Amino acid sequence: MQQTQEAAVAPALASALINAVTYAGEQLSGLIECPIRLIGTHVERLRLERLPGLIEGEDRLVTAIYLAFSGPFEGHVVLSFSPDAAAELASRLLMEPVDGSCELDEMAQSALGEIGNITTSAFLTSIANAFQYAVHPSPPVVVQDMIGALLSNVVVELALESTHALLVHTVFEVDGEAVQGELMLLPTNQSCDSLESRLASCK
Amino acid sequence: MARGLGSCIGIAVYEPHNRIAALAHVMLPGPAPAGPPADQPARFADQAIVSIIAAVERLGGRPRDCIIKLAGGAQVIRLASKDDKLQVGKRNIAAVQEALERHGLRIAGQNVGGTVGRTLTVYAATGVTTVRLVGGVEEPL
Repeated sequence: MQQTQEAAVAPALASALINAVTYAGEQLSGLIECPIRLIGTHVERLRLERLPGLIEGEDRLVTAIYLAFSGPFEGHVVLSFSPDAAAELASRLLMEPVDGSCELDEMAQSALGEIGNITTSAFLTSIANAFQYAVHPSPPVVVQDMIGALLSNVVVELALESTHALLVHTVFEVDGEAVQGELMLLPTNQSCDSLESRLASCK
Repeated sequence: MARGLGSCIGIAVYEPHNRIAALAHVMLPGPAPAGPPADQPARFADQAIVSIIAAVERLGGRPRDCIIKLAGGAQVIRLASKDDKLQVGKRNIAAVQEALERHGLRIAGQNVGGTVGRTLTVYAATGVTTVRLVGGVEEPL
């Protein structure tokens, strides 16, 4: 777990965000009753067009769960999988087979939505406890589309205020490489400034 | 090739006399913020078209002879919140269409709107432009 050298992210903020991701992984592991390993968890500030999924492979098909969160800390969460991995994860939760080669039915979408809910809520709870903020997640939206198309809808709001964004990113493995997913958290720049100010005032 | 177009608009341009091909990936309707030139002007609709015109002219081409095709402007995530109120996909479509008209350029074809992602490709050797919707096959535009 690391901050990239060129990022200007306050270490205390990065540490809180990484702890929140770790906690989210633990809760997801509990939900699906399977160990989860987080790989390459990091926090960095980067240009929007350099987000994973926008610099290459933008037309890669994914099944993703999107949530927005609001309050003093606001932004976006995207939890993405290959269609087969998403089907595998849904099947573990539903304890019945899910076919990843066709459009997911309502039950499978609901299962994935719940995975998104648990993961995001755990992350936001950790942040809320660390900063004494109330944070509110939106209902999850399950989308099957090109990762670039999905992210373009997400980043456009961030692009209205800046050319850069703070990215909290991790890849997680379930059962070795059997199921691999990617978690991206993109708070608004205003929220990051607010969190950094709060950290500074707590010293 | 402009891959994974969601709310963004891909603008494919081909000038057949001089065989000049160009592609822009517009993210925002604009206008660009006031002050020093925007960091990436082509992310805004009007500035992208101005950049394309300049590039075509720089290569000896004639912008008014260009065959122009559009793809994108979708609302991939539908959330009953400010995201829907932004409606950036629709606004991008309108901004690009209006900017092209302002510069006296005609749209020869488009595959825009809806709720799915697209990939837009222009083949420089032939000028053929194609679009592929998510889950679909590449088709001429």
